[in-house]
Amino acid sequence: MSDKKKLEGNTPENDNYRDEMDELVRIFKEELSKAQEEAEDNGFDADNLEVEGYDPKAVSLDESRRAEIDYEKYCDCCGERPRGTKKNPDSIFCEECEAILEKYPYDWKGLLAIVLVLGVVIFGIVNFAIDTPAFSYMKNGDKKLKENKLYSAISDYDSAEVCIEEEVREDYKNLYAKRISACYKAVDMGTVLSDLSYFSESNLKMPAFKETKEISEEIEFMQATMMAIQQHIDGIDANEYDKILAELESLSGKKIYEKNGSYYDETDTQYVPDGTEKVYICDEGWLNIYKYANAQSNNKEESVMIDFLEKAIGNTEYVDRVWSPILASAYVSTKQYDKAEALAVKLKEMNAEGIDDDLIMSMLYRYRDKDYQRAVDICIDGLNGLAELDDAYDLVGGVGYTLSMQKTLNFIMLGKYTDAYESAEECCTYQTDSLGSTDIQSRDLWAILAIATNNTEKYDELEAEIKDAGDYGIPFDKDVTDYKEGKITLEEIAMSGRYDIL
Amino acid sequence: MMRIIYIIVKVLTIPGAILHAFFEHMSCRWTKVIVDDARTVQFNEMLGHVDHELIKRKGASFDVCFIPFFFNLALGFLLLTNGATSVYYFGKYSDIFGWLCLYLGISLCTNLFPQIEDVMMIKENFFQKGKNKVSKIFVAPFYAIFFVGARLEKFGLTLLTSIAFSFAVPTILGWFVPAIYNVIK
Repeated sequence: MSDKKKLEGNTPENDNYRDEMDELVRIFKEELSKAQEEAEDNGFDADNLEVEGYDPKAVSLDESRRAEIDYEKYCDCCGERPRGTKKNPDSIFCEECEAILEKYPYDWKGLLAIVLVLGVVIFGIVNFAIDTPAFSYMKNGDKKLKENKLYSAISDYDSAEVCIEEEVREDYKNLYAKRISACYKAVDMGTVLSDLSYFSESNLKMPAFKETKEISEEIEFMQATMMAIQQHIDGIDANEYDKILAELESLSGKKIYEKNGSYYDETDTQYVPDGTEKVYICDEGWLNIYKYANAQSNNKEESVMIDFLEKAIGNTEYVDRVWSPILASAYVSTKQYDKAEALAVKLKEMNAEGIDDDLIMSMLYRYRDKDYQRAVDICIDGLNGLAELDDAYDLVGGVGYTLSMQKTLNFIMLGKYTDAYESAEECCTYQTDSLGSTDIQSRDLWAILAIATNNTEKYDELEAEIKDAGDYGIPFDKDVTDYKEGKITLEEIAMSGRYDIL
Repeated sequence: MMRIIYIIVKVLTIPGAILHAFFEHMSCRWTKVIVDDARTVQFNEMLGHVDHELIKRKGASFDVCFIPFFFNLALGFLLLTNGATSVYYFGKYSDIFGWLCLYLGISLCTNLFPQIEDVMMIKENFFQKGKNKVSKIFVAPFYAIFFVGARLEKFGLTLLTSIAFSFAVPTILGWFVPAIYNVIK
C-alpha cells in the first residue's frame, strides 16, 4: 500500500480494517508458536529448517546496490519522489506528501473527547470563579487558624459563608468543620452547636471530619457529665459544702448512660442498662469545676480551690481553655507567680489573639514586678490588638473591659488618677455598650475614682442610679465608703485583688 | 504483569489517554511527523499514544513529547482546580460535577508523559557530541521529567502521582488565588 493511500482518511472504516489486521497478526503469531512447539515436540529443529527453493540471499538487496542509493535525496514520507517543496526547498518531504501530511485526519474519538473536556473545563472554571471569594476567605482563615489567631480565622470563615449562596451553604462541609474547630478553641459554643447541626451521623464517620467528630463527642461527654452532676446536686442547699462534695465524689469514674435524651449513672440502682444506650465515663474535669464552684461559694481557702482547678485542667480542651485564666489568676493571688507566668505562656499559645495572657501578665507586672507602666503598656497593646480585629465578635467591648480595668488599677499605682478615672469610665462604657450593664467592681472603682478626682457630680449620679433601682440596686461596697471616709488608700484598693476581674 | 497494570491504568484513565493521543497526533501534524496509526483507542501499549515514525529533527522530537504533556497538564490542572477544591477543600461530597472534574483532572494528569522511545529520540537529537549547548541546557530538565515520567507510566505509577497532585492542588491555589482575589476586591 502506498503512503498516499495509507494516509487517505483516517476513518472509522480504516480503523476497523486495522483492527482486523491486528487480529490476523495475533492469530498468525499464535498459530506459528503452536506449530513451532509442535515441531520441537516431534524432534524438528525449528531454527534450522531448510525450505526447498528458498534462498534468503537471493531476496535481500545487494550490499553494493544499497550503498548506491542516497536516501537523503528522497522524500522522508514516500521514499519515491525527491525532497523539497516550493515553499520550503529544504523540506524533507516532497510536495505531495507534505500537502497530505498537513491534512492528516484526526481520530473522531480524540476530537469528541477534546470538545467534551473543553466544555467541562469551561464550566469548571466558571464554577471555581463563583467559589473564588469563599475559597480565598477560607484559605486566609486556615492560615490564621494555624497561627492560632482564632478570632481572625472565625471572622474569615464567617466572610466565606456569606459569599456562598444560602441554599447550598450546607454542602460546604469543610467550611463548617473548620469553623467548628476555630470556635471550639475560642470557646464560642453557640456557633459550634449550630454548625454541628450541618453534620449527620454518616458525615461524622468520614475520616475528613475526624476532628469535628472528636469535638462533637467531647461536647456530648461534657453534657452527659453535667446532666449527671445536676441530677445529683439538685435540691441540696448550696451551703452544704460537704454533702455536695460527697455527691460529686461519688460520681468519679462512674459510667453515665444516655437513652432517648435521659441520663442515668451507675449510682442509680433503679436503672438497668440494656446495651442500647450511649455510655460515657464521668468527666473528671467538670467534676472538679463543680467542686471548685462549691468551694468558692462556701468561701473555702484559696489552696483548696486551686487544688480543684489543677485537677480540672488537662481533661478536656474546653475546660482547659475556659478555666486556665481563672487558675492563673488564683496563682497570682497566692503569689505563685512562676506557675501563673507558665500558664500565661500556654494561654498565648492557645489563642494568639486572646487577651487572657495579657491580663495575667499585667497582673504579674503589678503584683510581682511593681512595673506599673509596663502593665499599662501591655493593656493598651491588648486593646489596640482587639480593635484591629474584625468587629464580628465585638471583642473590644465584649472582653476588652477586663483590660481597661487592669489599666485603671495600674494608673492608680502610677498616681495618674485622672487617667485612671478615664480608664474606669472606658471600662464601664464597654460593658454597658456590649453587655447592657456594668459589674459591681467596675462601678465601685469608677465611683472611688470620681471621689479621688473630685468629680462629685459623677459620684452622685452613680449613687442615684442605685437608689433609682430600688430593691434591685446593689449598694456600693465597703471600699467606697471606707475611701470616702479616708480609711483606705487608692493604692490599697488597687492591690486588694477585688478588682482583678476576668 | 506490568503490561497488564499499565493497560488497566490506561483504561481507568481513558479520557486522559485519548486526549494525550489526540495532542500527540496534533503535535505530529504541526511538526510534520508521519503518523502510521492514529487510532486513539486500542487496548494495548499504544493506548494514549499514536504510532509515528522515528523523528530525526530536534525541534519535532521535543515538540511531540512536550505539546501533549503541556496540554494534558494545563487542562488537568484546570479541571482539578474545580474538582479538588470542590471535593477535597470545600467537602462538597454530593457535588457530581466536582467529582467529574476530579476524575477527568486525575485522568489527564495520569497521561502526561511520552513513550520511552520518544524520550530516547530527544536524547538522540539533543545530547549527542557536538550538539548546541544552549539547547542542551534548555531541554535537559524536560528530558529528565519526561524520562522519569515515562518510566513511572510504564508501571502505572502515574495514577498515584496524579492522585497525590490532586490533593496538592488546593494548597497550590492557596498560594496565589487569595492574593489575586484581594487585589481585585
